[in-house]
Amino acid sequence: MRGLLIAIEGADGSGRTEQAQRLARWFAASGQEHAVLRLKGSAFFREPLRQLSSRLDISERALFLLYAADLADQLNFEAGGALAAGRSVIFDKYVVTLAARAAVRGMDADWAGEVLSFAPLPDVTILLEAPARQRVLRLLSRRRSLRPRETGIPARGSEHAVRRTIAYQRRLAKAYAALAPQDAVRLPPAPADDIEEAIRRRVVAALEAVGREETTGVLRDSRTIPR
Amino acid sequence: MPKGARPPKNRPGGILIALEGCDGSGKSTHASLLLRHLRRQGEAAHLSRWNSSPTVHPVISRGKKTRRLFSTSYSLVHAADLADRYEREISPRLFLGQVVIVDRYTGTALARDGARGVPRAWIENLYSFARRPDVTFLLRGPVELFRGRIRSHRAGMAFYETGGDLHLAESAEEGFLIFQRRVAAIYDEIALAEGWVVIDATTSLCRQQRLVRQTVEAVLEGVLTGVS
Repeated sequence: MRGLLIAIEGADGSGRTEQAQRLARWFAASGQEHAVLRLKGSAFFREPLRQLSSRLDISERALFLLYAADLADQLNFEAGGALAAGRSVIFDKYVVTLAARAAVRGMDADWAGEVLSFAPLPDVTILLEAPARQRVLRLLSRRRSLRPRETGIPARGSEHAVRRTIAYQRRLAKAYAALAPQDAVRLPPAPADDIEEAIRRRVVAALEAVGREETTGVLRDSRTIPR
Repeated sequence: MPKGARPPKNRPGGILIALEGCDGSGKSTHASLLLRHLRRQGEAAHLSRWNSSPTVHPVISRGKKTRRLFSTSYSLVHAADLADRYEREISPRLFLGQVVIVDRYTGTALARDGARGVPRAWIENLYSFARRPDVTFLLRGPVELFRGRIRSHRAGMAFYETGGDLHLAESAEEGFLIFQRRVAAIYDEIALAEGWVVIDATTSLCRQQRLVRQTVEAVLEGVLTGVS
């Protein structure tokens, strides 16, 4: 008899890992050969994914594709052999988890589904559902704080990121303009040579003014903020 | 932007230039020469190389060293690398109208993964997030010539560039020829279908680079549209 491919799915904190382990205990108690595999669990991808999944300096799409590579690796090196030998394979999170995350992180659902089409369809898919509040409490009962991606960092499309950057930089420049002293020399964009020249002219003028002050004996406190 | 460079012209979507070809065909050399040329012309150009994402590259590099990658995972990790660079490095520059040169692009995946037996339609979907280049150059020549170049540059051939995972031949040398011929055949097919600019990699480097520059200048002036 061939083994079953079983997928335990559900959103963060829905109890996937616990149920996968309970099912495995039942398989073991009833003397049925089985293997438990979990997403981000391949010998090769586990460590890099553990680090990258909490970093924000990687694109969401790249992270999704690395998770997919981890799944491909486990299917190729572990699940395939187990199933062929008649053992059942329980996946703690499978393609639905990957596709759902892709969908809420700004990727096209059809695109993600097609990418994941290398994975065989499970014989049984379990979807664990629980209210969000309860799931978040469960996450917080396990560790000190939530992980960045559990909190739903915004989907960062590339153009979106540049537009946001430009908007932010405009606000920043406005703050500079408002906070710079009134007698600041405001230089619009120009070739670096011209800007250098303008700065030098202003500095020379200031030096000359200081020279005059010294000869006339009128000193200006440099720390005084000009009105 | 390099010192003294003009800000990019108002070019919505920027200009994307891709270089493709087998290992040892001279893509990287041409990419560097073209970048230097464009910068001297005052273009705020940028070069992004295959497999260079700071977050994904270390994973690929270890996967190659340990020979853990097989066709599907090999394909996925390379797509992850481009996805990261596309979103964080390439696309913002194109959005602002810059010229971006890519040393290997989606054609590489179609040719190399295709040579590993990965279905074309699946690869095309995988990379559908990346826009078409304004021009793609294919450096074309006999793979024996490329093997000779690699031999003179490095100690040995890399496992995956000889198709080592596919067990094609007894020796790495022979494997390289078989695997790269497969890659070259797919490249030729795409080049024809997509209207790539084919550069004869057996001619002098100067001559090749002149053709690259002339084509790029025509693209920048908007004379040449629709190549690739």
